[in-house]
Amino acid sequence: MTRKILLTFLFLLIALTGLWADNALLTDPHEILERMEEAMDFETAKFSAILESTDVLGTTSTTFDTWEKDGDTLLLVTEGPDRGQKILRLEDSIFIYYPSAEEIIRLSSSGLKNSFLGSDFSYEDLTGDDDYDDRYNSTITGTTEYEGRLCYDILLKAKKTSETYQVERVLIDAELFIPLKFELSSKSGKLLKTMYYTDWIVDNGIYFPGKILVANNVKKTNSSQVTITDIVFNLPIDDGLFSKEDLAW
Amino acid sequence: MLSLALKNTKRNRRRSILTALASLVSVLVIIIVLAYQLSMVDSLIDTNVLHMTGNIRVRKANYSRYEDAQPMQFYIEDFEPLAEEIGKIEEIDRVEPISRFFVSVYHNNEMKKASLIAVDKDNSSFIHGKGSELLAGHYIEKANEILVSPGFLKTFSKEVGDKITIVTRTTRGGTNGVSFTIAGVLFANDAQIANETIYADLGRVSEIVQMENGAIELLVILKDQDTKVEEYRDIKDKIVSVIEKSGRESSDYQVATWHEVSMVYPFINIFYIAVGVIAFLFFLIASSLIINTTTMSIMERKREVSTLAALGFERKSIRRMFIQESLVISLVGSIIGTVIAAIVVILFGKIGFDVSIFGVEAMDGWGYPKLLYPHLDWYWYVLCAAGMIAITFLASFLTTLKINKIEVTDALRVEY
Repeated sequence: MTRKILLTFLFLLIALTGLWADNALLTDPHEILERMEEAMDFETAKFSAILESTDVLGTTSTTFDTWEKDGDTLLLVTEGPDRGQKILRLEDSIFIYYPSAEEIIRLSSSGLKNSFLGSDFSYEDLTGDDDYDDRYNSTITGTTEYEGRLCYDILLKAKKTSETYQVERVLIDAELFIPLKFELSSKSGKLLKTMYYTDWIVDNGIYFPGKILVANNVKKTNSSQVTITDIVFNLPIDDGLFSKEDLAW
Repeated sequence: MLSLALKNTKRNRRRSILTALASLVSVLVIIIVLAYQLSMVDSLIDTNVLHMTGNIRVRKANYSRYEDAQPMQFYIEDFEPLAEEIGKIEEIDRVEPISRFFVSVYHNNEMKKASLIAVDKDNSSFIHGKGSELLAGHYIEKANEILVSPGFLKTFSKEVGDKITIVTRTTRGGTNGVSFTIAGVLFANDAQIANETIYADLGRVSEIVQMENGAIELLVILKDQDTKVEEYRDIKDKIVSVIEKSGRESSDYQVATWHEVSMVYPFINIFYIAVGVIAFLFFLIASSLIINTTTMSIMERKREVSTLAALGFERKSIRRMFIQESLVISLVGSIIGTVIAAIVVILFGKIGFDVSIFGVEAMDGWGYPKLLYPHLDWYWYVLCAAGMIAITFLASFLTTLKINKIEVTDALRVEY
């Protein structure tokens, strides 16, 4: 009998320890970032979205389609004042096709900071490289509760001066490992933008923000929001779609 | 005494010619410098009014408030009926709509900044007005044709007929790119718009930047360019009234005279003072030459003065003779100098004078012309010649006071 009780106690202890271990807070920021990237990882994606930009003069609405594969991104503006423009992101370069221009315009890495279709998003914000470990030195500053969720508070400092945002503070859901809020700052610490990821879409274990809101902390009257209207993951996409030579077609 | 004075001028020809030359050169230089400086100031005013501010400039108040950020969203919507109504005001000659901003020219995989001036391709004084000259190619005929400045061709290594692609911000904050064909090369006699500048049709540019029949500003040109500053108030009030009658909120608009917005205007008086100082300095130099030659003349002719005094001539009369001598020589020199100066000014007024040799390019942005066509009103010639004679009188009057001090006996003593 005593042996049975001891075994049951031992079993419970092992089970509880396992449960505790599963829910234990991580202390390695690299691991947290890696799990965040894993949660949002997909091979390919195609989505349609509405971009709404608000400033003192009102709100402008633009819709666009996006294709993503292996870090390459193609955006096609389907409705709005900039209709017909195509934006192709290949590594550190942006190629833009304007319907009235006979040349494809290449923006170098400094051009990644430029406004995307006049919104508060930069090209970098919407087409950027998500490999945080390569680009930033990360530290955990603690945990915090945000919107009722326990979050890791991660501070990222850029390894290169060419990064659009030299300092980023990210709140990552401690359970789902999805980013909920980004505070993007300059090297001096001046807060430039705050981005909120909400309305998460979950598809076969892939998490994707259904809505991204960016508040411009410099021009406080300005804000922009991208709302995903349709998204498909891991569908076959032809590599030729990401060819700058074919951008004009 | 006058005939004696005239005779004396012939007696020492070298001295007389030297004195006359002093007057001639002084008058010549003063007139040419005056013509150059005053014409520069006039051109500065002309180009600023014509190309920068109009006599009166109408634009959205917010555009002026945030001008440094090139806030293209603050443009004048549906400007044509407004421009037409403003143009009906009695004192107004014409209204020129214009959108002017910086664009990026895509060249060798890089973006380079250039200035874009979008105007009415058929009627704008920027293209067809005074000082503008088509150096090559033809004027804008099609929507996607542009004219460029000679500096643009040089910077971007392009030729007439080549295509260029520009990228510009739009009024909604986005960007747009468009390819244009260079139709021609336009020389604008204005240093502030003569470098990397593109001239395009306003209608086409409005489409590209999503302005919808918009223009950033209206330059109002008055019939009378000599309209006094205080008279501008009435014309401004009339324009404001037209804006209100068109159903627009006048407080959204800035109606400003060129005196209020031109960065050149506050310096105009300083330019005039500088001209006066330069003229004064030349007169000073001329007077010192006259004093010198007259003094020399008296010193050389001490015996002659003493002889005349011994013969019973009053010192006053002798002094008058010397003054008359100087005046006659100065009169001849001044007249010849004025005639030569007038020929020079009129000649350069026709062929133009390249001011870049004086380094005026360093003042780019101020509206100095590249080619100056000097001119001078007739009264300046009279004033300069008369001024020279007056200076001669004063100089010789002061110098001949020495005659009173000459001792007759000492001067007539012959030493062996």
